[in-house]
Amino acid sequence: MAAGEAFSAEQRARIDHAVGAAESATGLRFALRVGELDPEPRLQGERLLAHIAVGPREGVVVVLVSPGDRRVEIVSTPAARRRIPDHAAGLAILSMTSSFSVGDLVGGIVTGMRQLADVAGPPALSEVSAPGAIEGEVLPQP
Amino acid sequence: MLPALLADGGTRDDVNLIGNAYDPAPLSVVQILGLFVAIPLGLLLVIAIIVYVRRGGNGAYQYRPGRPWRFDSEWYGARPEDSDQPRMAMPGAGGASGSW
Repeated sequence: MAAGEAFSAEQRARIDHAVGAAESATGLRFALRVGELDPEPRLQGERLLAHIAVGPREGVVVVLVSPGDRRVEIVSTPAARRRIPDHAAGLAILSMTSSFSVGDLVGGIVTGMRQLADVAGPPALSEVSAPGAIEGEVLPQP
Repeated sequence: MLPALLADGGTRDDVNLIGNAYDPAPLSVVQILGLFVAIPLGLLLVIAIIVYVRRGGNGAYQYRPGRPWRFDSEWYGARPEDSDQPRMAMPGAGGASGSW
């Protein structure tokens, strides 16, 4: 749309890595979108969530960042909400916005993703679909 | 200049090329352009190159709060499927929002 790129290749790699690390650490699926928001961001987030998640039992977190509107929105499925309570999502947003407000978009995104992953913690063993899904973790033998 | 300073008395020929303190020889057009146009432009170019290289030169947008954001939206991680109707409602969805 505009001349130039929103992010450099190195910045994109950092964001990709942050999202991938959050997904592999928690077993949840994270979707991050950087771009303009509708006038009703919450509704837009829930609509996107419904397009991504198979159902409410799948753990999906949608993070919408709009630098133009200076707004950030986190929407989570009920399953993800049990692991990341709303107040924890609010704390992640606080640390993201404190970076965004000094112009550090990538830093804010990386910090926010890390914080969300820390709150969610590793997946429960019942959620691990295949043995060895968590690297280095040994499943208990019966 | 240096030979002119070293030579005392103005007996040598190159002293006559630049004249003396009271009657300097006029500069040619090429010399004027070189002194007052080419050298400043060259300095400007060097400074511009240094600034560009230090910034990284990757062409990435430098976001500052309040500056417009006119880029297509970018997705990282999971992304929605291309269908118009949502699969189902998501009652009990959680989350939070904020602005800066």
